[in-house]
Amino acid sequence: MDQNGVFANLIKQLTKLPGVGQKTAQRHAFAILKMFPQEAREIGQAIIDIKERLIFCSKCRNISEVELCLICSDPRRDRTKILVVEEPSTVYAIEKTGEYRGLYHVLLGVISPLDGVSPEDIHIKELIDRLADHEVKEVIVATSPNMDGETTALYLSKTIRPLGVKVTRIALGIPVGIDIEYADEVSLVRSIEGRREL
Amino acid sequence: MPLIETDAIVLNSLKLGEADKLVTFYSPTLGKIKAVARGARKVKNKYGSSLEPFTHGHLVIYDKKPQVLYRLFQSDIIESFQRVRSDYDKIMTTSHFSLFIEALSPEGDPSVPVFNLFLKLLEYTKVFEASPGLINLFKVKFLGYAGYELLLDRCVKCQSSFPSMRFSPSLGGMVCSPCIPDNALYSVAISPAVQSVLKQTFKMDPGLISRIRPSEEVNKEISHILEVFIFHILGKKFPSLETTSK
Ligand SMILES: [Zn+2]
Ligand SMILES: [Zn+2]
Repeated sequence: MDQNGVFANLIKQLTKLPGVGQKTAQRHAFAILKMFPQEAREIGQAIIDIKERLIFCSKCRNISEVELCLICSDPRRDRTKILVVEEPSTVYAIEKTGEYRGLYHVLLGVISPLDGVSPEDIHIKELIDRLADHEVKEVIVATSPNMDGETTALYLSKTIRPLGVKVTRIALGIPVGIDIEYADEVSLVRSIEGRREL
Repeated sequence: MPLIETDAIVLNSLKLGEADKLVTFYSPTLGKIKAVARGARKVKNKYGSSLEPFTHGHLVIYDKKPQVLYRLFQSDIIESFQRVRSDYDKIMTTSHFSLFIEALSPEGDPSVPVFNLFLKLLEYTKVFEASPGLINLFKVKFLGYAGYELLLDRCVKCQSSFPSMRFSPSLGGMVCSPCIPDNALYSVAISPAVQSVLKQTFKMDPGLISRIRPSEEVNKEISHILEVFIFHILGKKFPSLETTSK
């Protein structure tokens, strides 16, 4: 097959996606080849659309098609709570559960002293600005339970607490569904620290 | 593929690809090494929290020669140092020192004293907060172990001993004024107080250097000496503790 031809190029482009190796890309490319032209065009257009029509919400930095995202502009959401996440994908995952009714703030990154990322490099100032109207009573930090996520949580706590806003951290510990004897020592300690009354 | 077992401290841990981690360790038998931990970012992974920065662990790795990167097979926690990672300022100072060791240690050049030095800092930081002054002394100690001990007693060029010598970063020691023709050599003055602190640090057991309490003035001078010396060694500026923790 022509290695520089259009078919080889499609395979090459598809392998850029996560979880897609050479074999899978080949299968996808043949599947696209068999489609009606309109179907294939829709896939292409959908990819172009998310790059051209999605922006970051001016308030919470979540991905949005409009200046103020659907969550920020929804009058039924609880405006006293802001849940802080690293990436829009976490908002997506939490929204799918339907269990959280407050607002979000997406940092679009995480403080990383070992990787040279400081508080000014991510959207922390925008979060502090949102607390100025005193409507928010609680900031829930839902960054990853690793050192960078913890560093970010500790920084947010020491910056926001003096403003009189409660800062909470999501519970860390043992994943649901595993046997407790397989949990490692750090997770065990964290889960004891984060225990709650029954 | 030969399997190697070693103790090590995690210096840095970076995301690699979709679900892997590229971990930099310092091992007393292998020196600074980089290993790929496959699947380390998945919920179900065999490494648990053992790859968090500053963890002291026991590793089993594959040597994939001629590839430079090792493959991590197993890692067990000896001491997690979780308490170091539970305090913002402790994270900042320890990260700074970790980056320092990473920058100044060539790959695969083991030093037991360097390994023990980092371990000592972690044990200290578990309980106390390491001041910027103490971090400087740990850096001085590291330089001694890494073959960069400052020669403070005699002029490195003519071996004579004058009271008013200056430190030359490019020569790694003191030089007397006749040996600095027309100030052609960049040099900095070192006060007697600083000279004595530096000598004491080079000589002392690493577990005891936290007892040296340099004054703010002495510490400022040591910061400057370290800055120019490390600039000379690395050929570039190493970020200060203040920039790491800003
Ligand atoms: Zn929004
Ligand atoms: Zn001389």
